Formats: sequence, C-alpha cells, structure tokens
Amino acid sequence: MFRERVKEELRSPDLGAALAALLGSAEREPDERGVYRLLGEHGLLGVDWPRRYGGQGRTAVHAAIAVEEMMRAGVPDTLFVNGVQTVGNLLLLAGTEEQKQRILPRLAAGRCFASVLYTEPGVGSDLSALTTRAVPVDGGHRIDGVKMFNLKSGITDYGLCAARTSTEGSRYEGLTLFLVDMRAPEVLAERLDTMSDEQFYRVALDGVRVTGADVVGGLGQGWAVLAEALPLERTGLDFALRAERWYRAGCGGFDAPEGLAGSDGHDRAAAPGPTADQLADIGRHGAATSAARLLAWRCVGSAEAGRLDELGTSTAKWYASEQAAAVARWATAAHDFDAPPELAALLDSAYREAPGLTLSGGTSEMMLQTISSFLLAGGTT
Amino acid sequence: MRLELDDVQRDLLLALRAGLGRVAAADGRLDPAEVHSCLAELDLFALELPDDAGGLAFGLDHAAPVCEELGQWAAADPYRAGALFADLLRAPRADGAQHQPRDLDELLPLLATGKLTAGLAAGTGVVATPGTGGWRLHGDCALPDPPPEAAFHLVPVRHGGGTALAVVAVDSPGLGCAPTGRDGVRRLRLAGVTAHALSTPLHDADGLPSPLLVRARIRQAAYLLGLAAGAHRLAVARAVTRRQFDRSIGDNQAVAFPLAEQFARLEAARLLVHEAGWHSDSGGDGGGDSSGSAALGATQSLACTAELALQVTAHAVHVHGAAGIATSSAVQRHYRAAAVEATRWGAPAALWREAGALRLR
Repeated sequence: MFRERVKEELRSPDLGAALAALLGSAEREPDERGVYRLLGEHGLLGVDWPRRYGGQGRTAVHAAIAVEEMMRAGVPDTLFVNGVQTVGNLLLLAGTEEQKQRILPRLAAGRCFASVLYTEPGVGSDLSALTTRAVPVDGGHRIDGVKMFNLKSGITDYGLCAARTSTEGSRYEGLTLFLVDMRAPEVLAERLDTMSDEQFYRVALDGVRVTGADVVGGLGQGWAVLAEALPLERTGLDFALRAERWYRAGCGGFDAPEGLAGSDGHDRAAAPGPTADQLADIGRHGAATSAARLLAWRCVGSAEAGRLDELGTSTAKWYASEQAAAVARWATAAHDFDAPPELAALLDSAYREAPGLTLSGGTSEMMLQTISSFLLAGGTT
Repeated sequence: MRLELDDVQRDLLLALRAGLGRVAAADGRLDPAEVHSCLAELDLFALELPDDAGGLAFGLDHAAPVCEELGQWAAADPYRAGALFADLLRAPRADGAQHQPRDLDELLPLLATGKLTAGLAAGTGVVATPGTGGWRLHGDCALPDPPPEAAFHLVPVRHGGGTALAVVAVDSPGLGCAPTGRDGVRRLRLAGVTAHALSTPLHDADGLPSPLLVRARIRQAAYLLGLAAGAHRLAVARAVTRRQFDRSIGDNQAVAFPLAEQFARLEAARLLVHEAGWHSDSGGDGGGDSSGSAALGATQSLACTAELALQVTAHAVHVHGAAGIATSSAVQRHYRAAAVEATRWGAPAALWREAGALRLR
C-alpha cells in the first residue's frame, strides 16, 4: 500500500533522524531545507508530477496521501505548500517546457525552493489592485515594487511574482506572472516579526531584471492563470491536517469515561473524567475535523478526475481553515495552565498560528463570496 | 469510500424527486398517502431488505439519499420506521420476549412492498416488565404522526437492561392514542400492553449503540440533512427573488454569507452521513476503531444534522421575512418538522456527549 510505503520512508534512519532534530530544535523557525532534500531523495515531493519533471508519475490521490503522512509525521509544510503545490503546480499548468525542465526537477528533489510574491502593502485579497510594475527593457522586463506578508522568502530560490505590465483595459488585465531569482542583488527580503512561529517577509524588488524565459503563462495572462490555478491550492487538505493534529493534541489527557454518556434517557455511571461539556466539545470538534478531511479528500478526488471546481474548493478551504482555527482555540482553552510543557508549547504554537489560517490562501470572506455567488446564481443544484 | 454519489444513488434520488414532484401541491406540500404510494411504486420499501424477503439488498449508502430526499420535501416519511421495523425483525431479539416468530417473519415481505407500515414513537416514559405472556408495557410516550394505515408502532421502552424498542399492534388491548397540544404529535398511552417483540437494548453494557440504533440514527441523520437542505434551498431562492431597496436581498453580504456558511456545513454533514452509512454497510456497526466505526459515525452525524436542521430551518424562515411564518409558506413546514425530528433519538447535546465518549474509547 502506498500509504505504508510513505510511512516507511518517513521512518527511514536518515529522514527520521533529520526530522527528529528539526522538531527538537529550540529555534523558533528552524531551517527545514535539509529535511526537504531528504524528502526529495525519498521521492516524497512531486509525487503526482510526470517523471520527466522529476516526479513519481503517480496520481493526485497518491500525492495527497504523501502530504497527509508527511504532516502527520511533523514535517513543516509551508515550503511544500508554497513551493511544490502552488508554484510547482502552476508551472505544470501554465509554464513553458523550458521552465518545467529548469525548475520542477529541482523542486521535486528538494534542491530548490519557491514562494509566491503576490500580496502588497494595502492590497490584501484584491490582487487586481497591485501596483508592482514590470517595465519592458532590453532583453526582458525590469520589476519594481514591494511585496508583503510572504513566508519563507529568506530561504527560497525563486519567487513567483505578480506584476502589472499594462494599464490598458480593466484592472484584471495587464497582470503578468514572472519567475524572480530571489538571490538577485535587486531583491531585498526583510523579516517582519509575527506572533506565529513562521515569520513574514517584506520583499523589495528594486529594478530586478527578468527575461522572456521568466514569464509564466504569457504577458498579460497573470489573472487568467491565477484563476485557473487557485483551485489547485485550495483543497483544504493542509488546513484539515492542522485541525487533525491540534484536535488530537486537544484530546490529550482526557480519558474515556467508564460508562458512555447515553442519549437514550439512561444516565450512565458518572465516572471521573471529562465533564459533560468537555465530552460534547470533543464530539463536536471531532466530527467537524473529520468532515474537514472528507471535504478536502472530495476535492482531491475531483482533481484526480480533472473536474476540480471553485465551489468545491472554496467550500473545503473555508470549512477546513475555520475548523482548524476553532480547534486551536478550543484545545488551548480546554487545557488551560494544566497542560504538560510539551503539549502547552504545541497548543500555544497552534493558537498563534490559527488567525493566519482564515487569511492565507484566500480569506474566509473571499471563500464565502465565491460560494454565495454560486448559490445565488443557481450553480449548486 | 466514495465521496460523490454513484449512478445508482443518483438515479434513485432523481426517480424519487420526479415521483414526489408529480404529486406535490404547488407549494410543495405532499399528502402522506401520496408519499407512501410513490415509495411503493418505486419499490423503495424493498431497498434495504435482503433478496429472500423480496428486497433489493442495497445498503444504507443507498438508503441515505432516499431519506435525505424525503427530508428535502419535509414529507411525512413512512420509510424510516418501516426500515427500522424490518431491521428489528431481522435482528436478534431480547431473551424472554414471547413473540410469534413465524407471524413476525411473515411481515418482512409486507414491509418490502409497503403494504405494512409502522409508527415510530419517541420518549422515555414507557416501562417494560416481564410477565406471563410476554413483556408488558406501561406508560406513555409521544407519537409523531404515523403513516396512514399503520398496523404497528415501534415504542422505546425502559427495562432493567436499558432502553429497547418494542413492537405493539395498533389494536392492542390497553393501547390508547390521543391528540396533543403539540402540532404533529400524538400521545400513546400503554396500560399493560403486550409487546409483540422486543429488541435487544439499544446500547450495550459499555454504552455502545446497537447496530439497530446505528442504522436508525443514520437514516434519521439523512432525513434531517434533507430537512435542512430543503429549507436552505428555499432560503436561497427567496434571497434571489425578494427585492428590497431596489436590489435582491441576496446582494447583501449579511444575507449571502450565512447562506454560504450553511451550504458548507451542509456539504460537510452530508459527507459525515454518507461515511457513517458506508461504515455501517461495511460491517463497522457498534465497535472497532473508535474514529472510524459506524457507531461513532451514526452518533456524530445525527448530532450534527439535528443541530443543523434546527439552525438552518430557523434561519430560512427568517430570510423569508414575515411571509415565511404564514402557513401558506413552504419553509415553515421544514421549520416545524425540524422540531419534531431533531430530538427523536435524543437531544443533540446528549448525542454529542456520546460521540465524545466514543472518540475517547
């Protein structure tokens, strides 16, 4: 079974040791690239990519299984989600053959890393309002602007940058995606301290040069490419897996009551253990966490069948991210100051990360806007 | 497990929808006798029964969409009680029950064709005591409107071993049925009524729900999901057509976003219900891995859909404005049905406690 194979790979001596060292690090945001190189060597990145691009040639279902097991083993997933899943899959969808050959095999091998450069100061969810300019120059374009709230920009090699190449037409036209060399001297990544473990970056692009070979999806096609690629990012699986991990942590320390709390009118033995309210919360959050995973897996199935739709992904993303955030709050409050140190640290980290979940990858309001648009247009029957 | 309906499920659902649509009044109201005829014509009473009882041998995986569709119409539903009756007849029964196996076994083919229907009572007020000639039942309980021509009622009864389900004939000596002040609910009074059959306890000694209860909860969850989804559909339609201040009320995010949230919660609940059905069909009743068992799935999906039905139907009435309160409005039928159906197998809070305890096993 593929899932068992993935678990075995994750338990292999080199990967297991590297992961244990990473998870045991006292650093707030330790560099996980070493672990990713090993993940690449063990064939766990780019699982569903064609072999000619360094992948394993497997299905979207296999890729999702690999993600589940990696996250359950504690692999920090931002480099995966931003690099392999978002940038890699977008290149697979809209990149040139040269771009695919140049970047995908190294992403799949954990030898290079990528992040997105979309958001700007004051832009937020409305990408059509971005102001970063890409001006034609000899041999390509020159990009100037500032990108904000990016993760991992200090250790990534490529940034997928959305920039305005034309002011003609609507605000949605004239956007272009570029691959930017994050090591270029005109790229300055500054850390912005945040309350969560992972830090934001402010990335200043000060006349960085790109060539025609760095244009992804064609000049002026940025919005169309993003619209097509966004559902690929929003299966909700990464959020559902956070909910699962934090739910399990939240249940830690609660023992099963000696008699189950029956609903048929017979009160069973009131043994020491969780209170009635705690039991009900464990039931509620357990169900919602399971449902988040099912919604995410339905999207994976749709992707496999080639019919991933925006309604399904927005639904899964909204539900899973809201549930993960809710679980983080519940688990933190449920344990209060009595949690053992390791659990307290995990729940504290979860609580600090939670607010970002309903913002990243499309805010909850954007998801609800999408869902309600389908509903009111009669697109859900 | 499949996370989308297969062709057979979809065909069943569409056939039922078309059948009910043909006999529904303009406001969507359905005569209970017409619902019964529609189910019988489509052979749906035979859906879960085995071949040797004249059944089609499908599982809950296929029954759940049928129950959901009946809920979508807020239709009086003879299916759930009939299927539960058939489960009870096929399951081991309580020791000491002086039932008449042969007579009861002969009921299965009648249930399969819809020629026999039953009412399903609710509440904890009936006590069963062993006596000469079988279990004697005393007390009273609620009886949500039974199907027309119901020949039996299934009554929850308490005895020393817990709560079980008793089968009583509607013409049993000592059985009385009277209207109550509550809409759609009658009162059953049992004074020394002899049970025709008694199920094993609905929970075992460890508190695990029995396979009989697991299956009943899943069907109930599917029906409640349908009630909520039907009300939601009406609310969305209202949000599109109702204009205020020169625009559709659905153009306001304060109206649109709660409907979007409810849509997501309904989708999530639907997957939980279908997962529970799948686990039950796969033999996961009442035990096994706590996170994957049908017992947990049935309990949590019923708790989830009961709460959703109460919330979504109430919100749907609100979206309709004052017009939603008028009895000519379709949505108020969903709201009123939710009050009866949401607690039929226990209050949602109690179900959540049970689900929590199952998860900690």
